[in-house]
Amino acid sequence: MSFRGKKLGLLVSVRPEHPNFQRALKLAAIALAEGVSVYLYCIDEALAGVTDPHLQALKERGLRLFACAYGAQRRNLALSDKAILAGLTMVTDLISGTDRFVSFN
Amino acid sequence: MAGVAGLEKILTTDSSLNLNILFIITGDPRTSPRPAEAVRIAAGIEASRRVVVRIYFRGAAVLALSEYPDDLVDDENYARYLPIIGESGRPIYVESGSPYLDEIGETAFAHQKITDQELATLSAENNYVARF
Repeated sequence: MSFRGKKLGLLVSVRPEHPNFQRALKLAAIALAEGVSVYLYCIDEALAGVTDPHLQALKERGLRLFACAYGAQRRNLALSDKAILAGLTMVTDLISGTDRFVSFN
Repeated sequence: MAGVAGLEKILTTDSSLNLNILFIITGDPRTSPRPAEAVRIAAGIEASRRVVVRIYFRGAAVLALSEYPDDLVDDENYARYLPIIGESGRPIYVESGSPYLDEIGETAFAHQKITDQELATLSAENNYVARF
């Protein structure tokens, strides 16, 4: 079965040390390898993981990486060169505009 | 869900055109900012009118509905964003039998107590579930 052309949306809200953060990255890696377009949005505590080397490596492989603009500002995190800063409208887009949305909290 | 088989299951399951998401909030709002952030996220999605949002508070998270939320972390989020959920006409769901219900006072937010079995049904009726 080919997954090429499918879209997968991921919302991650846990710190990079949390097992679910790594699970999200693993799912993203598998999906990218299968030709899926993957959109990953980091929010809340996951903002600390935007600079994670594994996540940045996935970005190099085609992952569309987004970070909560409000949360980044509140935490004084300069992430604009690591991810696209976006609002909650992007989360709605991930839910409504992808074939499947998965939340890792 | 590891592996290609898990990916296949994720991407081939039918999803309804009427998308909806259930936020299950269990964090303690007295010590954690996560419940307040979850309410902000839920309201932001609800405001789009493209996705139906439902909120369920469990355990200490029930205190988010407190009449006097001043002692809660990021308490302004509750006053600002819970009304957006309330305006949708859908109730805010809370854990039936929660001991924290006795502590919320005369809450301004309409809420509905549901059992664990009803929560299971509610979860199954939503396309997506996010737990905070």
